[in-house]
Amino acid sequence: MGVVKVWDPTVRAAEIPHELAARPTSLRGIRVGLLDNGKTNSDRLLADLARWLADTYGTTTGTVLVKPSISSVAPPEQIAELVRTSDVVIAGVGD
Amino acid sequence: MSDTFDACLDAIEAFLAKEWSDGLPVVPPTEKRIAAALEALAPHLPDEVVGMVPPRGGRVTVRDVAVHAVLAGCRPEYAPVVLAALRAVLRPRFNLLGVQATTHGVAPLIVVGGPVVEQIGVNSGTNVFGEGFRANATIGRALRLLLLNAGGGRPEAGDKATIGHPGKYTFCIGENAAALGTWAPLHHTLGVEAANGVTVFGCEAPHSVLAHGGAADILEAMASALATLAGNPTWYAGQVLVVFGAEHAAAIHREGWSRRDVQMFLHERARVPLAALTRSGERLDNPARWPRWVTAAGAMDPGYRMPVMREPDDVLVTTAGGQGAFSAVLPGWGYMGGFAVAEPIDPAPDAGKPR
Repeated sequence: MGVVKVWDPTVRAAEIPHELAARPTSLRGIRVGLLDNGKTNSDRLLADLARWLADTYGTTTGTVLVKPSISSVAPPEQIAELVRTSDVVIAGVGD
Repeated sequence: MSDTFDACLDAIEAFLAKEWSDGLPVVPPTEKRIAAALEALAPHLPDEVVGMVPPRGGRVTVRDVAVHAVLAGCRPEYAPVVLAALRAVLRPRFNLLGVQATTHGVAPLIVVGGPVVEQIGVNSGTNVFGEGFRANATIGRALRLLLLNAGGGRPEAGDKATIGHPGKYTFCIGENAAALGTWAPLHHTLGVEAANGVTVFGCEAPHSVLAHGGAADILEAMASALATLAGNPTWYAGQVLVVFGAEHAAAIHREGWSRRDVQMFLHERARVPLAALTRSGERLDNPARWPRWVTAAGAMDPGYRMPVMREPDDVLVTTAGGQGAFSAVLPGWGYMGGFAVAEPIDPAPDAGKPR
């Protein structure tokens, strides 16, 4: 039986150690940050959600930021500001 | 011998089963073929890291480029072109993460420019976006296979394109140097002065432009192909590529139009009513999409017709294709990325190199 030795073309990704932020145990009275990606209706969806959370759980809406691009990760300074001023963040999409 | 042949066919089936392909059979990457591609990539060493390919973040080395050139069916001398194209899409300006993942059907087009086009047989003439040429077919395919195997850009997983386009299998053309006339090669306009260069541009499929007549007639038809409410540049700004077939290019050169003249004319003539966009509830709060002068003009004049290309420099101009009254426009992705990036071809391919 013939044998052909071939190269495995899969390319390994570098392992980047990370851990998830602690989850709040309750939504009651927490600070909600909003990260608007700039898409059509993204701002309206986020505003409606924030209003519903405030009415239902007494949350406060803190930092509201618009990403400079709909298709790139938020820049580090935006993420840092959200981390500093929010207990949870909602990132919105539109279309 | 027939046993070995069967083993090759089994290898092809295995690659398809493991999703290490684009859905078409691949050339099994044997040591001998990989070594030939690596020789063409020298002095780059096999373990040299080219970069991380998003979204999965596969760490691609020169050896991986050689492997994927073989998989795609490249001749060894095509490998430096594949390497240059990969380097180009990994530049931050291209935003490959977004290009890979977006719902838009954007794909990296490779435009090969310089003497290398003739040397390795990249088609720059008749049926330039079509079939029939190994270099065009396999160079574009090798880049796609890297985006799949290293970047994880598989449909649904890392590629959310709603409809995609056929150029996502392979998308590579040669620049028609004879038709350029006095215009500089595309890669020179993007800051690469080497004789041989590649330009990558994230764009939609080519849209045909039929026109008879003089330069203005041709460009007016082209402007009308760009002035559409369906195009990403209308909504998201960014760049467009216009490709003049040999006959159209000759007509434009006869009348002495510069590349800048072409850019200015298309910028001036390709317009859409801003009101048609705002009717749908479009937001105008992103300055990258809606410069102040657009929103201000729209506020002053309800009938304002906005330039689809916000700046003349957003029009990329090249020549490719044969005789006939046709050219093409290729709309880009938008301000988000896919911007044209050029890279020198290093090492310069040498089809005559003994091996």
